[in-house]
Amino acid sequence: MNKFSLSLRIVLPVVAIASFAIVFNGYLSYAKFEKHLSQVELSRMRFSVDEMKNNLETGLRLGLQIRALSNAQEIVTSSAQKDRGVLSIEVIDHEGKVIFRSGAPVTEKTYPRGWRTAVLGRQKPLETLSSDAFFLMIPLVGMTEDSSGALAFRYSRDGHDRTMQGVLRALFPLNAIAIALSVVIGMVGVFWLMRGALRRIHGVEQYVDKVVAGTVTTSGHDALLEVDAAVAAAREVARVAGTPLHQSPAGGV
Amino acid sequence: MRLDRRRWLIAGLAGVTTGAWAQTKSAVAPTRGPYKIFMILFRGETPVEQGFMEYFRVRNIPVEFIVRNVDRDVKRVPGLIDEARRLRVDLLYVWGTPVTVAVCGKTGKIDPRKHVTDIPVVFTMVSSPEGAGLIKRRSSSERNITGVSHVVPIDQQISAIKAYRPFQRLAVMFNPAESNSAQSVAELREISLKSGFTLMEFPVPLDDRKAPLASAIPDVIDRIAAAKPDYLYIGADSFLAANRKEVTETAMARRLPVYSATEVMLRDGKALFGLVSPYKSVGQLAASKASLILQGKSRPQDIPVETLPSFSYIVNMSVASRINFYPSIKVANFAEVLS
Amino acid sequence: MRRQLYGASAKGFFVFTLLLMLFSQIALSIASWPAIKGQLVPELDQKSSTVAKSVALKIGRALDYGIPLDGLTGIDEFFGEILAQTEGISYLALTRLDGTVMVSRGIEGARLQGPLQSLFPGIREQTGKPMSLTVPVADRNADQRTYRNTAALVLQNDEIEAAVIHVGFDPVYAERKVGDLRYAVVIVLFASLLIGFEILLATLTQNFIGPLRALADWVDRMARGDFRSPGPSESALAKGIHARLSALAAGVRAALDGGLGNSPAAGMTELRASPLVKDVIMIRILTFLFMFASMLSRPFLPVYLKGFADDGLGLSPELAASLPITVYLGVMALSMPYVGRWSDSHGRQAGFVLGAILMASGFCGTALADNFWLLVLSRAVEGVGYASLFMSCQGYVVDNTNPENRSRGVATFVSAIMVSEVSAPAVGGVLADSLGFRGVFIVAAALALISVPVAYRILGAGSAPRHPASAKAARGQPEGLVALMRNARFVLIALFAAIPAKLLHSGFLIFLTPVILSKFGSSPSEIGRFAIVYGIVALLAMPVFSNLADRYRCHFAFVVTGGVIAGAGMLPVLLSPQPATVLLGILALGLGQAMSISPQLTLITRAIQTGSPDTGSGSALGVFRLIERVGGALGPLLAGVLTLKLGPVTAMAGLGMVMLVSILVCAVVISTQPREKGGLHAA
Repeated sequence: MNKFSLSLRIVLPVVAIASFAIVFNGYLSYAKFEKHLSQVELSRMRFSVDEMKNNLETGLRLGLQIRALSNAQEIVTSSAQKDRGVLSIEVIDHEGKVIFRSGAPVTEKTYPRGWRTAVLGRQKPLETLSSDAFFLMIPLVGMTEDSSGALAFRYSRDGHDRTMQGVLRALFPLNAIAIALSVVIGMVGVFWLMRGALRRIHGVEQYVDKVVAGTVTTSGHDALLEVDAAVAAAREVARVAGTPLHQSPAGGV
Repeated sequence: MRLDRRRWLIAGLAGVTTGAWAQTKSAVAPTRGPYKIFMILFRGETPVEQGFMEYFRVRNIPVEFIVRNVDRDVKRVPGLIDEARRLRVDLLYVWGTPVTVAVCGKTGKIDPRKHVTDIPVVFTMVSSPEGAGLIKRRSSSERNITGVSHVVPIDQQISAIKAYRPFQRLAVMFNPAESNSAQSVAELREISLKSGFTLMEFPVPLDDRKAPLASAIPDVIDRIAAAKPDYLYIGADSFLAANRKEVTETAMARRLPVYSATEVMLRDGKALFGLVSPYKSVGQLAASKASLILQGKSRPQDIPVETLPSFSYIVNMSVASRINFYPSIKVANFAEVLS
Repeated sequence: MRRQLYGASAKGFFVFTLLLMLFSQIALSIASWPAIKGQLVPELDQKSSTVAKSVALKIGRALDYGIPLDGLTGIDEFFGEILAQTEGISYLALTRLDGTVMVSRGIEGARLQGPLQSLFPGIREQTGKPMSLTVPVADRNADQRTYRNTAALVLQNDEIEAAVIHVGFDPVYAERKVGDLRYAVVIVLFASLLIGFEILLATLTQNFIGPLRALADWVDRMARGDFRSPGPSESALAKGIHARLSALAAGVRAALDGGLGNSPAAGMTELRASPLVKDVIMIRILTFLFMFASMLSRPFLPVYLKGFADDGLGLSPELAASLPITVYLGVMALSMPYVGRWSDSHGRQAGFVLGAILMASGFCGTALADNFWLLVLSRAVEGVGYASLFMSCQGYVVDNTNPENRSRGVATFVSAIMVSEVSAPAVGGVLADSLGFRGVFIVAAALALISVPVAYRILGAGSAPRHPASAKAARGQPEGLVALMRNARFVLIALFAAIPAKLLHSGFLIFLTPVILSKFGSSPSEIGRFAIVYGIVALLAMPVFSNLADRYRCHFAFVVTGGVIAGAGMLPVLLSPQPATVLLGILALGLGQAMSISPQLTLITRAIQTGSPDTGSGSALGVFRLIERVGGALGPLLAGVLTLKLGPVTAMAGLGMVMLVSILVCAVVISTQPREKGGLHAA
């Protein structure tokens, strides 16, 4: 039992680390890929969104306010229809109110945090992948502060999720196999090494017996000098004390 | 007796204090409408005024507009200033350099008796507020005036021309009697050296009274055509604007691509293309500044003089096909195309 | 004997485990690659399609205005702009309806012409579907490259076909971008090997090496004539030998009793269970855990902090980034004596747990903070936590070692720190890429909290300080400060060698490196990769140099040379501001510090001994450490101010100049001082 539980105590952490490293490795592949994928997807969406922005800003440049843009509804609707993945496109005025929309209505809660400050305030674009969709929001520049606004674009993440699932499906068996193999090889290896370790320990035990019994034949490199020294010291002390060291096989004196 | 005197003293003091306080308040401006805006125009109502007035209408801000036209006669201005004062207007709107200078005076030479220093003034259609001596710096006039400049910076104009199609030779036609025009030619000269294109100057000949000769226009254009420029540049020049039909149609007949810095030559003329400040937008921006002042949110000296945040690139496609000189694909896509 | 008993076996376990990890990860990465490879292509196809349709639309619009197809101008620039702004696309081409190329950008029309034309019928038939196009790489070359070509029809008036737009990309190139994963994998591999090593060391020591080593020590003691018995054996492995040795020892004691007529042996108290090295090795894993947690954020901390500067505080971004770091280092340095005292009186376990909880709260605060001052507060809390953790672990080592093996114990402690310095930033960088900055702080907090139950297991026994006096001395109260200040050599070395080195370390490595590299566009994982270089160089070079310094007795020369190398390495970036020169600086820093750290300590110790022999070396060293830490705390602040005035790249060179000038001053002044007996030059 003790040999087994001892091996286990060593195997478990070993296998745990190896597995963890494998999982982390797999996670890395997955995460990096997702990042690249998102970048490509967002750049594609950005392309379409920039086109809409240019169209809308032509009107804004004439001094019109957002709600006066007559072509805005058509721009938004036709863009949404072109690609089935588009969930919604909204044209927003400077106060954050939705003036034109195509697609499903969006509650403000699903907008990413801080969108007002970033887009309406600091006039910077916002691109995120949230738990339910891709979200792009870019400022629309008007002639006066209150004729500016923003364009909000939501795109389904189904395609993205499908691709990532494919990746996961491809990676998962590999990782599982790697872990399984590591566990098996780990256990076999540790048990085997433990056997060797025990053999060596046993060898030391036998050596001690032999030295104590005085039957060892010291032949250079097999000798365990420290044991020799210890036993010699023991005998010396006993001799000085005047009583010979009683010797008997292991376990007694 | 003593009590009475003290009471009168206190009442007097109170009255004086209240009066002084009320006076300062009115100098800043009341915070509620209906507001009175007195508009002094140079040559009648233009789309700038339309944009200006529309701004308030669309936002339901109650404004009473009192519109007066000097009909190109600046000498009528003092009389209008008196009228504005009598009507106790909240803000003055002035159009064009001559009127603005007459109303506000040049910095360093302001006469409170002649010029308006106590009523806020918003100006539009002043080509160069600094050149006209109205302000030293755009960030603050340091007095009771602010406004909108409608002129597109020269480097942006040159980029716009290059975007249509790259060029090496630019001809400029102008009225030498107008200071704005002379100034923009000077700017063109400077930038031609920096950007490495050739500038050819064609001033319109003047008569004995230093007025430009409209009859010389075809001749000038012929000479320009003979010099074979890549483009003909028409700046913010009132004389040429007044004669826009003749100028642009003659140029078109000679197959000269004409760039215009003002909107009117494109919408109401046959210029080929231009990067312009739409007049309506100029009016709207001016109105937004006026609105800040009327609502007491800012003083004129705290509002910078600005140009529009972005300009309109306009292309007259019918002219392009007539002279067979089409814009590059980029311009064809983002410009406002008039056909 | 040790080799036989546990040495060979232990080595076997280590090698086996590490090889297992190495191979499994390499094999996995190699196998994963084909699995992910093709997955990006569909998305790239879609992107090509979008671009093609959009370009076709634009050209169609121009045609609608009446511009004839052959009258279109500026298409070349237009395509060029699109190629520049859109990643992943290799070429754009406009062809007529018969396939002749009118304009192309990215690949010369001549090379595209042939392949396009032959593919054209297929393209016309299924416009919009990606097709493989093989194009020769150069005119006369036999080399070819295959692209995926997506086409879109240019329509006039939405109906009349007028021309065709082609967009192509190179799938191999795209895949290579994803395969850039390689670096991250290597980092993770390396880090996981190190972490695995730590955990394995702890486990093996606990279960295997510890008990056996105790036996070996016992044998050695017996050889020296000490026959006291340690307590009963805890390990099944050791039982057999333990029994035999007990028998032997008992026999000796019996002989003594019998021979001498009395029982002096009875008076021999049993040797108390030697806590020694086993427990000290266990402290390693704890140290490793909390150091790892605290270093995870190193690659991006200043960049993260800069983001809080927008909050209109009136603080420039550079100062905003450096202030929390300085606060952290300063609070940490100043609180050390107090938390040290606290853990002396309340026990190491309490000290550790307190530290872990404080540190975890600090991390949570940093992760969730919305405003700048909350952030600074969190960093201060973290600093106290770290100090408490550090002092408890250090104190534990001191408690459980005696002067002979103390340096070995301290070395174990220090090497755990170095290992985490090497592995944590890299892993932190990789995590930041995926989890975001805040996520990494949460992970760090989790790690800190995980160490609490581990601490309960390890520090449970023997956590009460045994040598309060030595603990105090090791903590270093600033007593005898005045005497030390009069010691010229001490002051010189402390001020002109040690402090600049710490300034450079915290100012450059911790603060400036992330700032400069992110300015050059590096991602957090890339920054982590750079940071790891320092740790590796220092780890490898330090033992070499300290051996050389001891052998050739040139400590002073090494301190000076190391300082010069570190300082000079900061300068090339001025000539060529790019990541490569920053890396050079990091290398130089690692090398220079590896050279000088150990000899510096020797010099200081000697200076203390010769110059102020009355001050206890323990407390004097404590003073020295305190001075060093103050320098370290000031580093980010100095770097921040320099960055504000001169920009980060010049700030880096500025710090280098500070180091160079100081070390040269130190060198010059000391060499002009008269030699004292046993002085620095005798070494």
